[in-house]
Amino acid sequence: MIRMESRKVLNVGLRLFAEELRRQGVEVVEVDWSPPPEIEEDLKDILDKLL
Amino acid sequence: MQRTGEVKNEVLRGVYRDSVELMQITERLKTMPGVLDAAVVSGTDLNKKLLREAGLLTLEGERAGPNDLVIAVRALEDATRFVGLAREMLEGLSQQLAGRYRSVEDALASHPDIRLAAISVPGRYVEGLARKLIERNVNLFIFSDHVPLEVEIDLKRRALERGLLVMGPDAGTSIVDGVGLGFANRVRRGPVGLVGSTGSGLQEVTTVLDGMGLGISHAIGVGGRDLKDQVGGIMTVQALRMLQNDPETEVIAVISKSPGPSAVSKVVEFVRKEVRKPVIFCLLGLDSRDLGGLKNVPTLTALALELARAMDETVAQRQLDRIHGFMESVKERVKVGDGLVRALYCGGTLATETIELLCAAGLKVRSNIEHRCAESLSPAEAAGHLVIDYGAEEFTEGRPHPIIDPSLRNGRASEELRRSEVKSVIIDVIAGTGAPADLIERTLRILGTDGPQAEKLVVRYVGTSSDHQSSDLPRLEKSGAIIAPTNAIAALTSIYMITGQTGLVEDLLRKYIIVEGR
Repeated sequence: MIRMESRKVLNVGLRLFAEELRRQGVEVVEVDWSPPPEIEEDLKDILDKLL
Repeated sequence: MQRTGEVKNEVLRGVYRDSVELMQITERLKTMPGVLDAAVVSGTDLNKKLLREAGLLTLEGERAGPNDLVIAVRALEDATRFVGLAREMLEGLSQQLAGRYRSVEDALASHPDIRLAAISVPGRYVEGLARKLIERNVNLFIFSDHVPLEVEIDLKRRALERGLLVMGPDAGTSIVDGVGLGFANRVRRGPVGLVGSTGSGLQEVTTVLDGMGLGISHAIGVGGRDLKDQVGGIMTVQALRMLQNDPETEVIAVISKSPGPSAVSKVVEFVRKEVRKPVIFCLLGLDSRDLGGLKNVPTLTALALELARAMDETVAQRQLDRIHGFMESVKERVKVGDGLVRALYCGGTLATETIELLCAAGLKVRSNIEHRCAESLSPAEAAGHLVIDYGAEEFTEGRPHPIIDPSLRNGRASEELRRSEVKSVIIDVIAGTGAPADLIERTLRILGTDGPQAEKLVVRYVGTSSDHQSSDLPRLEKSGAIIAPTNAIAALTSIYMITGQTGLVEDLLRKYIIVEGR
């Protein structure tokens, strides 16, 4: 079973959940996540036509 | 509809903030004097559709993509100023990020003892993150939906090889060793261990048990699709293995909605061979309840009663007495009238349970949930008896889950209460982590100021006395709405409201709650 003796959770995503875990006395390690940059759609179209 | 004021959009390209933070900024904007309406959202198709319907989308906003943010404001005048304020609020959020790690690798390097990670990024980005974490032997709780099924299967297989648990994707709720993940209620500790490919199902059963004075060891949410045949119950079995080995767990429950028959067979086979503790199933939406001699009850309420019987028969009897007393009070207080039921849910499993009970009562039901006894509908339709799950994927792309932001559902409930042909509206009000602090206040707003329709509103409040939202509960009780002790009882209440058939309701109570001939 997962034991939570360390009471430590890594949170990636909604900050709300990190806050809720802290409220329960859990140590939260947070990652500042954002989506990887994507190629603009029109650039993708041009590449598709070229390749 | 005639709309006043001027509308301004600004698109921030490639800027990301999570959907809950955006909702909070939206709410702050809306309360500013001079602002008539506002939204700060990602530019997904669903969000643009909602903006368009609200008359908040301009040509500028139309050009936003899913990785962009749209600030949309309708103001009496000078909408541009409010757009600027929204931008400042977004920048303020960025400044609060100090102390957070830039990557999973950095976080794990500084905290090598982490054994559990909670992931709630948009579904298409889950795979890479989850694989990295599994390779580092971290158990996962994946709240995100919209994760491709093949990714789910691959992640679960990889985790299994390492003896890890992957709760999700699309896991709403887990309580692991007393720590609530996602949406969870503050429930007492005790001997009942649960495994669920459902979030609201786990919340319903754990809160009903808590109300009876019974506690749980762990409630492991394995994700809404774990018991689909393609996934084959990989993590349901893994969680059962853990609960079998857990010294605190004395009795085990397995909950699912619409599982696949071959996945169920695998789980049943595992239970027969490996589990030495009593196991009770509640598999909603399954064609046959026969699990070859294993106990399978038809509702979440029946499950809570059966678990109580396994621990202490007198506790179960007290709960049954309470249910009987409640149904008697319903007969005395509700106005019976031929009409329609509108059941509007944040929790999909609760919606499924209600479909089953309405069907059992012989009512023709339409729903956005696929179910053998419900006709499909588009959610905007308003004809016949309806059961709508607002947590379904079509409502959550780039938007907070309705447990976090019930405004879409609540708006619909308010409309339905005012329709004369609608005689009963059922809603779930889900408290606990993730739910708003002013949950009850928002629920009361459904009723508005013109009171009499409160008597048509049936509420299942999914919460315990320890949940922080519960201090406001007396206000809801005083509103005149009917507060049912469980979701199945809410459904039976509605059935009585539109049929007035005491015999029918008593029959359903026997078959679906008390469970005759068990």
